[in-house]
Amino acid sequence: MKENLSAFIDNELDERTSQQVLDRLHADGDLRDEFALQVLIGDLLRGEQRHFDDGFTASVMSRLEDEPTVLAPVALRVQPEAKRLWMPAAAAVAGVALVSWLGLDLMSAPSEQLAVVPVAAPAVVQVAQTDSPLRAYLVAHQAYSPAGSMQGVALYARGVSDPQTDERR
Amino acid sequence: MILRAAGLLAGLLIGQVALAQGQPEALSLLGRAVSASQKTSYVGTFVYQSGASVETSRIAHYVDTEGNSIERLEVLDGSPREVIRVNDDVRCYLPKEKMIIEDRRGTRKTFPSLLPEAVAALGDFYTVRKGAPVRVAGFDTQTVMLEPKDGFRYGHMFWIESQSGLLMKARMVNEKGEPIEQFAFAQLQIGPPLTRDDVQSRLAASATGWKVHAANSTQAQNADLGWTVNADVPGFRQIAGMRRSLGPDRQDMVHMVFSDGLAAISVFIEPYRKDDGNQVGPMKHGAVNVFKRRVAGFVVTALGEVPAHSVQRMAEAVGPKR
Repeated sequence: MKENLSAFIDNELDERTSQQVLDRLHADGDLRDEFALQVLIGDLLRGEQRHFDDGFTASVMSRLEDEPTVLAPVALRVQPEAKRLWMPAAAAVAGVALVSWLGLDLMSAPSEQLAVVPVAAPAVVQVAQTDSPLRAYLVAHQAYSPAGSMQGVALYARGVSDPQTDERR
Repeated sequence: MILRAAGLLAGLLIGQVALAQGQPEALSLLGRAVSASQKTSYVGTFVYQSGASVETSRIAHYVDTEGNSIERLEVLDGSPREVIRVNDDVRCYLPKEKMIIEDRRGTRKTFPSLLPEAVAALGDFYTVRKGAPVRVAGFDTQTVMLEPKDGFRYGHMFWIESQSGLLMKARMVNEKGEPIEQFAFAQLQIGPPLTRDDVQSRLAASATGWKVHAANSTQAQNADLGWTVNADVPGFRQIAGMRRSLGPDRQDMVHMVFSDGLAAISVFIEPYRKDDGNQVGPMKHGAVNVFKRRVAGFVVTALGEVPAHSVQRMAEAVGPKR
């Protein structure tokens, strides 16, 4: 019934099945809660409601408590993903990435807001010339970068950045 | 569609998310940041760092009475490059090269490009959590952290202003945990009285005769582009595919975009020309990795804000459709 609920919200069911969902909604309080939750999440994602209130969080959390066993299959699902990594090295990198991230106490250093962030040594690859086709590619790419939808035009600083700016100072 | 995605997310929230306490709040904050960046007028100065390079830019965002979103960015260091965005149309003025790069789509986004179905999938490839509140440029912010679950993507941190929801600072972290790119406001004024003049190009008037590099899309999503990408870069699904016009005397370029919900990899395919040179293989532009190769008579370029092996894998999987 839960799958039908999603399809019902999307208006993808035929009339008969829709009616069945409606009937169940009338009869089943839990299903009504589920319906409300799904609609609420849809609203949140579309930015139509600004905050998760405590009641919502509590309802999600209590739902989690109701379904404790769900965690096990999820944990198992991560394994085949790691095995599928193409390069064995990548798997190692993945482990390192997580460990080093966790080890990085980013929140403890608020004073470095405007200080120069310690930067990674440049990797040993050819530096792309600031050629016009590549820059045009970058600009075209930026428009589709999901992170860009939070940053707006600021993200284009990347495309127009000039690696030589600092050298000339 | 959106609602089905919401349903998916509901499933995710319920089934999976106990892994990361606070994930719903963290995702909600990201949603707020998307909405705030489009609806809020602001003017400020931000610092962009990438590798050893640091550049300061001035930025103004003006939302007119009809809801048009117009933005102007001016780089304050080095040559005064300028970017003007009117809704989805972008023009970059590069005075040093006497060049304009144009990207016009002519349509308005009806919803943010941080797509709900993609947000739903974020939890599959990142551990999403809310961090401690901190101050950035005098504003109280909430932090959202996305730790990658594998080596095919970078980590991301976002500092989101508590009242307005504006993104104050964003940082990308490599597989060693080292920051590789950061945007941070140094000064910001939210909701100042702006006019259209404040976001008007200062360079357009003097840019006559500059070379215009346009690659405007000519074809909408999901058309048959004649190329396939059979790459298994975990989590990266195709989110867009289009042809782009390079001018009347040239064949159209193919542009495909793949995303894991946050990071994106673009694949560009265009006919090889002698003046393109013979440079192939891995390259880098700041935090963006690039991989170029030749396929038959075409040049294939994959690029994105992801580790080098991810773009390489994507580029190597490109082939003509049979």
